[in-house]
Amino acid sequence: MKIGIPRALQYYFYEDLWLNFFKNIDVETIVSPATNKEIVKNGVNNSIDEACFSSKIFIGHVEYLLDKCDMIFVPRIENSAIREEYCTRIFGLCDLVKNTFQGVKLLQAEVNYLYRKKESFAFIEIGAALGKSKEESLEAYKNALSTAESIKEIKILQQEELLNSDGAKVLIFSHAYNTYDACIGKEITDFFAANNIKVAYADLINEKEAQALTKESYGKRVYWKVSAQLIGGIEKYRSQVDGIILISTFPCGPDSIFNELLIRLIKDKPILSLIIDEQDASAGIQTRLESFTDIIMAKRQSGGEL
Amino acid sequence: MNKAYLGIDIGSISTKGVVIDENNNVLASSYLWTSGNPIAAVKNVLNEISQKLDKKYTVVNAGTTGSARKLIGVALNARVVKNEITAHAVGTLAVVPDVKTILEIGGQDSKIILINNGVVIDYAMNTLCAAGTGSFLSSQAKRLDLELEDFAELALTSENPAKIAARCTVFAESDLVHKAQIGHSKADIVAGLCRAIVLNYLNNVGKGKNIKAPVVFQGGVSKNAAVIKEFEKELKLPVYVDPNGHLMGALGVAVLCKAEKEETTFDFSITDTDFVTKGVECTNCPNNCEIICVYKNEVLLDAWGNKCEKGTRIA
Repeated sequence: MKIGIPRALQYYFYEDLWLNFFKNIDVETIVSPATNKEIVKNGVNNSIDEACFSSKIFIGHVEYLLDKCDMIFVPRIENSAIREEYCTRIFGLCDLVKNTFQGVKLLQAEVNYLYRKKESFAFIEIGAALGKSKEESLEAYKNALSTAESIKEIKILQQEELLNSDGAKVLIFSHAYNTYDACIGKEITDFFAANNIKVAYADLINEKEAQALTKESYGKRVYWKVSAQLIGGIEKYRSQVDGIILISTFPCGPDSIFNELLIRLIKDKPILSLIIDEQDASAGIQTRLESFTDIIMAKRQSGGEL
Repeated sequence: MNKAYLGIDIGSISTKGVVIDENNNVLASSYLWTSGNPIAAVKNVLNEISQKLDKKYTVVNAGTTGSARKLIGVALNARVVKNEITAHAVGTLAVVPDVKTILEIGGQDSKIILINNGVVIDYAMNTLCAAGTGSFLSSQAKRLDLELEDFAELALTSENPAKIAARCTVFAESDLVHKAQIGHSKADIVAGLCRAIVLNYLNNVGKGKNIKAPVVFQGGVSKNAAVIKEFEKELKLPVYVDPNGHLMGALGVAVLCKAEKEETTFDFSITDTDFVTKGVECTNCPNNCEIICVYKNEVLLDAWGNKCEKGTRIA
């Protein structure tokens, strides 16, 4: 039995939890490769035009896995607590995949705290589908969770170290599935690396801390889980960076509100908003990144007096 | 020897070249159509400049900007290769030192640059949509059977500009046809179009930006007096258009060249050199990167466009 995992969307939130869980219950997995143009092409061809670019990429990754595994892991994750919702595109994925690829075999589970479907129950459900006992699955889940949490803690500590070091720094505000995707955020972070600018990520923050910071600074709880976390990240790190980059894929509902909100609220740091879609237009992005770099460098030289 | 600095701005529609002395005085300039062939256009610009330039000057550094900046930068061995936003800001600052806002509407793109104390603090460019740029105006002029040069003149005669939807050029175009069919005069429609360009620009590119005087307007569309008038009406600020407004990008890189510590004498005989570019698709992985190779007299000068190491072998 081999489980295929698409390297897109939710994968970037749960990578360590998922991979360690399957490892702990001794089930072989295959993760699709970093997004390339062929995956993008297949994703776009198999999606409706109105879907966001990130979800088109997801479909491309599923297509890649179709003949390479026995089942594809596409859980339905609606939320991670009451009033911490994921985007509808994310929790509708399993239906989207089933309707796009007729007869595809999916490994499914549902997480929805509104209906008392806790994360741990979902992993027991997955374990059961793979012939594992409840105890075995629960144990594997708990271990995987603590591994994933400590990996994240280390990443957060490393980021804090980076932010305390000298040199120009930018903060990336984008859903993890965009930030770390080879065809979306990577070209942008590579650009900064090549220009000796350090890159910090708004999503590298403790979730509870992020929620508290978001509520404190915006006076309101943010309904979208990922956006709430990212805004908390901006609040936590913005004083330590020279500029903020908003990366969004077209068309994104939550981003259309929050990117606009941030551009209006943050007046002390230069902000660059980039919207990426399947039209390959890296020349335009290059020009924007270059001039943004000129702005933050000029600001540094003038001692931030602007 | 009198030192001079060369700046070349290779845009989608036109190619501009400027040579300045150490006090930012323009010694020679050239403005030609790119006509889809940036290398040929640059050669023509260089020929024109070398004829105009006083022989007592020696060009000690050259720089490029505009959408073909990288290609031409490699071909000319330019010291400075700068994005158009910084180049335009630097160029404009050399002419109008206290400028706070630069409005630019070119053939294909439009941008706004905000400046404080001589440094760029914010900018915006049009997104995927080319609504409200010069090419829209020229296509509508053609539709109305007008020369672009007569466009502004006719628009200025209108006292009651027709209201034309400014959000999107597709709607603007159908609105325009509609207005003509229900009987608005050509002058009112043309004036409405100029107004639509301005509203579109302020609603898209200029959205949420704090536009302060002095305001400088440049790019091809800045030659249109009716558009200038509409900007002044809408912003309630005087809008300055420099007669050399089209050269600001080229001037900007020339000024940046001046700031460079090292110098390489620029040889105008480069126009006799044969440059060939070739686009190759790398087949080593599914990304199929398009790699651009530049050959100088049949020797590979540089290649770029590959996302990973695998592509280097292709070139």
